[in-house]
Parts: sequence; C-alpha cells; structure tokens
Amino acid sequence: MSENDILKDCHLTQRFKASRSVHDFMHHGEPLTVNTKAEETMKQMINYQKTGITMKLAEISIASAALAVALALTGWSSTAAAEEPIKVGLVLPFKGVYANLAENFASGWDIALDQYNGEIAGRKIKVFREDTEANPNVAVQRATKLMNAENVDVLAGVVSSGVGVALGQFANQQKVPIVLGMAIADVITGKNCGPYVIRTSFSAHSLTSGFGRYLANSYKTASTLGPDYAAGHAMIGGFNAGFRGDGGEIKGEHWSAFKQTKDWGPILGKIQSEKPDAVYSFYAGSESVQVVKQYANFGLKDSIPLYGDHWLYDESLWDAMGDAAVGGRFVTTNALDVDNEANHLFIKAFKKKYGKTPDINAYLGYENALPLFKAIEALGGDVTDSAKLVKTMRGLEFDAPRGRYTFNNDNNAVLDKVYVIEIVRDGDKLKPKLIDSIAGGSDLSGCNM
Amino acid sequence: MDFFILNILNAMQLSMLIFILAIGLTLIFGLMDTLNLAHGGFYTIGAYAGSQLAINGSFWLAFLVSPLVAGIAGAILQRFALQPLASKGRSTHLDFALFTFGLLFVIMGGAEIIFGSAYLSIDAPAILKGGFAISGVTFPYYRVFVIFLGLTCGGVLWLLIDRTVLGAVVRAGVADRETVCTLGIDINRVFVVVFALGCAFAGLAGVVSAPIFGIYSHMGASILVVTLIVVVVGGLGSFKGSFWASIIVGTFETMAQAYAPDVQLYGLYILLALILAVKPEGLFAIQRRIA
Repeated sequence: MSENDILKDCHLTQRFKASRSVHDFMHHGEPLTVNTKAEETMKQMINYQKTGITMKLAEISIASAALAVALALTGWSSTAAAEEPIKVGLVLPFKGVYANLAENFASGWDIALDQYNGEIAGRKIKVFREDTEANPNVAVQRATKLMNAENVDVLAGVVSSGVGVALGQFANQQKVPIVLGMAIADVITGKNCGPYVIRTSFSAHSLTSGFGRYLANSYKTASTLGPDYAAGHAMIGGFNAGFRGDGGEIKGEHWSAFKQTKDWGPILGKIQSEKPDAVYSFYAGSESVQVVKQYANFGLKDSIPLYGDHWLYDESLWDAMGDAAVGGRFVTTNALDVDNEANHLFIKAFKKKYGKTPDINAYLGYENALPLFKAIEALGGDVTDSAKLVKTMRGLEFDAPRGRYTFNNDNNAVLDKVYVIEIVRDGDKLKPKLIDSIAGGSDLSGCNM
Repeated sequence: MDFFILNILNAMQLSMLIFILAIGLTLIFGLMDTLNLAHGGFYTIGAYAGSQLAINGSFWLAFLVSPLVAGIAGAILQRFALQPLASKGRSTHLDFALFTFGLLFVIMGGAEIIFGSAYLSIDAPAILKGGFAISGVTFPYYRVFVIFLGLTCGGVLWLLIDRTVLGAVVRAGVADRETVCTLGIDINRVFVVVFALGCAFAGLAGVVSAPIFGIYSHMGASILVVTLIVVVVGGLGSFKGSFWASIIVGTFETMAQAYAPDVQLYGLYILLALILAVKPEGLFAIQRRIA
C-alpha cells in the first residue's frame, strides 16, 4: 500500500465519520452548542450531500479536517461520543436445546452490566441479543447482520464450539473483536488463533488435563466415556493426557454415537468387565442425564466412581438425575463455596436479582462480560481500534469469582485454579460441596500469532 | 459369554422399547394410510403427562394415565384436524406428512413454553429398583420389565387385531376400505379409535422410556428417525414386520455399540439401504388393494 492509498483511506474514513455524526445530530435534533464555524462546515456538508455535488477528495479532507478541529475545540466530539453507545452483539443459542443455558449465561452478563450501571467511561453499553440456534451457518449470518444493520463494536457470548470456530474465523476476517464466553474447542485459541479473537472461559484441554493429573494421584487406572465428536474428543483427550502424564493407565476409551445413542448398556457392561479404578465422562444435556442414570441403574456407581465436569453433572440436570447424581464428583471453574470477595459479590448480586444462586453458565456469562468491560474502561470508552481492545483485554489482571484472572499470549483465559465439587444431599435437595481446589491444566499449543 | 448374554438382554430391552414406539405408527399407517410424523409429539405428550402425574402420584399412576392422555390428544387430532382435512380433499401422503410434521414442532415448542427447557425424569418404581447379577455385571430389573412390557403389548395387539370385532374391521379396512363402508360401518369412527390407540402406544413409550432416557422438549424429534426406520424396514403397516424390524434395529444398535463402536453412527443406515435394495417393500409388506 502506498502512502497515498493510506491517506486516501484515512480521508474516506474521516469523511464517513463526520457525515455520520452530522446525520446523528440531524436525526436526534437535540440542541447543541457549536461555534459558527463548525455549524457552517456542517451545513456546507449537508448541502453537498443534498445537492449531490461530488467534492474532490482534497476538498472533503479539508472540510472534514476543519470540522474535526472545530468539533474538538468546542468539546462537541466528546458529547457525541457520550451519546453514541458502545454496541455489543451478544450471540447465544437463546432457543432450542441450549435455551436454558443461554438464558443463565445472559443473566450473568446482566449482573456485570448492572455493576457498571450500563455505562462505561461515559458511554452507554447497548446489548443486542441474537440467537445462533447453535448452528455455525446461522451464527455467521446473524453476526453479519449485527455488523451491517446495528454496526456493533464487539461480539460476545457463544456457547457451542462449532459456532465458536466459525465466528472466530469470521472475526479475524472482518476484523471485528469477538469475546468468546464458552466455546471450549482447543483450536479456537490454538491453530485458529488471531488478534481479534479472545476467550474468557477456558479451553477443553486446560480444564480436563488438570483434572486427569489430579485423579492420577488417587487412582492407578481409569476408563473414559464420551460422545464421538469434536468436543468429546477434546475433553476426553485432555483428561487422558493428564491422567497418563502422571502415571495413570487408561484401560478403555469408549465412544457413543453423538445424539444417536440412547442406551449405554453395552458400554457400561464393557466398563464393568475392564474393572477400572474410576471412570471419567463428558456429556451434555439429555445425554448426561441418560449416562448418569444408566450408570447408577447398572449398579456401577457403588463400585466404580463416575467423575465428570460441570456438563456431565450440570446443576440444572440434578433434578432429572435424582439419586443417581448423589456423590458424583466433578471438576469446574467456578463454585459457590470459593472464598474470595469477587465471588461473594457476584453471588450476592445474582441472588438479589434472580432469587437463586448462579450456576456455572451464569458464572461464565459474568466472567465473559467482566474482562470486556474492564478493557473498555481502560481504553476510556474508545473501542474504535478492534485489535487494541483485544490486546488491552489480554493485558488485564484482576480478581474474578474463579480466582486470579489472566490471559495467556494466545488470547485465552488461564485457569489458575479449578475446583472439585461433590454433589451432596441437603434435606430434600442436592447441593454442591467444594472438596478440593487444584491447579488448572495448560492449553494445547499450536497458536502462531 | 456373560458379556454376550448381557448384550442380548440389552438388545431385547432396546428392541422392545422401539417396538412399543413403532407399533402405534404402524397401526395408523396400516389402516389409515396416514404417515403420522407427529408420533414423536405424542411420545413427548405421554412423557410430560407422566412426569406431572408422577410428582404427586406414583410411577404406576403415570404408567396407566399417560397413554390415555396421549390417546385422547390423538383422537382429537384425528377427529378435528385430519378428518376435516381429508374430507376437503387434502388426503395425500404429503398433505398429512407436512401437517403432522409441523404439529411435531408445535408440540415440542409447546412443551418448551409450558415446562421450560429443563430436563425432567420419572423415577422407576421402588419394586423395580436394583437388578440381578450376571457374574459381576448388574442387569437392572426395570429393563426386564421393559422387555416383558414390549412382549405383552405385542401379544395384546395381536389378540386385538386377530380375535376381536374391532380387529376384524381394522383388517377389513386395510384390505378394502370401500367394501367396509358399504357394509354399514362408519369408517371415520374406526379411524378415530385406531388413531387414538396408536397415539396411546406412543404415550406409553414416552412414560416407560422416561426413567431410562429422561424427558426433554425435543425428545420427540430424536426418536422419529429410528421409528421410521423400523416401520420402513418392517414393511409399511405390517405389525409382524414392526416386531421383527424392532428386534433387528435394537439388536444391531446394541451389538454395534458392544463390538464395533465405529460403525454405530452410520451402520444402521447401511442396513436400511441394504434391506430396501433387496426388498423395497420392506420385510413383511402388507397386501393393499390398489383401487
């Protein structure tokens, strides 16, 4: 790109911005105190637009530069910024299978928004909710719509890994920042990483490899059980790496056909004949209910403990699992019992607003919004430079409900600690009990940024 | 060997569950020539009705009443939607398939609105908790119950079709609908009864599978494919075909999972393609007079 081209680009952008401000001003029709020079320049520009006279490039740049200077002098530009909200596209699977999860995630998001009173560095935060239908194609369409129709500054949310991979690539192409709040596929901040993608949750590998290492301290052998698709392989693969890495032996890896298998009887029979010391399993939703219940029905629960994560033993599934869930132990990034001020604060605010305790998805939603807001704050509300926003976020270090919160160089949140929870009976209800806090695992390498 | 016996039992359990589900679809298709794609919806209705009844009552109350609820819903659908549709001339397979397929999504959406997207379950009755051991491997009693229930349903339906007046009318209707009408039988009434019965079986499958599979709003869509495979493989409308096709599908699924997990995902479809290539009309095609 020659210097001339760059200048041209620069001028065009300025012109666009200036005319947009003028347009906004006209549109809102609010009284403004601007000095006559600025007013004149604006009138001139509107006139040009109305009459359709095309100005030469140089003239545009002079006019817009004059306008910019004039506006800066009167302080009008900061007033304009105050009126222009920061637009965030919150893309989540609001309908269908993940509706419940998405709703809880958004509740957590709203708590963070409340803490800032919906305004950061003098700019309002305007959230546009968009349904991804947990479908990568749909998600990209909706993200495109958010960019074109609503002119969003940043995208956030995202539950499914498939959507995360697609939107991550979309963000890098479109140079729009995306702050992923779940989407745990390793590749997103691994092979596919880029300067516009940042993940506030964690990678599959970092959650389960730490847990595998931890269980290798107590058990010599284990078998694993998971759905035969990308997320299943990422989660189970992480566990196996951790468990083997610390001297454990994996007796059998069992895979079920994703969304097809309903009866785990044959696999459970095989596990019983393998006689491992423990079983680790990853599933989500209806498959979690089926696996945990059938595991108990086959009498395995009493002889071989079934370990999982906060998806296998998802709190919202406990009612459906009933007794089968009691005594189940799982690894998670957040827990109610974690004793730090940020956690207490969040739980209190959540209880006050929703009358219940937050589940993992609410935590992840809150911790999705928090770093974004802190980065916007650090930038004084200026989010025009997308890469800078992501870079600023990466440099953050603060206390969150999960503990000390930092990012690594791949733009992925680091799991300083993860928590081991046991499901215990409390009268008629089940409740989570924190039994251990352990070091989190590391990401799979592969990012070349 | 023990592992193999365990798998035979598992295969029987899954087969019988699929059979209870498929039998209603077969019944309706056999007599009425209507492919009721909302079948999964009645399965859903049965399961949710069961979950509500089981909260205050017991599994057995849910077991008895849920099929009635699904059956009544089915009767209403046939009497007030499908029959008027047919009498207005919209009675092709495509008309009914589209209408009932849409209805399936209405029921799924309705379940989500009323009960939310949370997962529910029904506890197996106390008497069926636990299991018996086959050399260190426990086989749950509830699964034994499912096997017996499937066989019982097959037996009862066989008696009903083969030994009762209703059965005779149904069989006659399958063979030659016009002649049945000329004999002074109100075929529309028979249709309502048969449709209700078919939906009641779907409801029964919903409540019986709840302790094993759980209850969720989109449960009806997830079983539709396997049910359709059974009905197609068995021969559209054939009871005997449904029974054997259920056993083939259930056994294939179980054995694939046990001995060749890699073929699980697509194996069933290859089997379907092979059977249809050799016998395009299914294993036990019914003779339907072409008018």
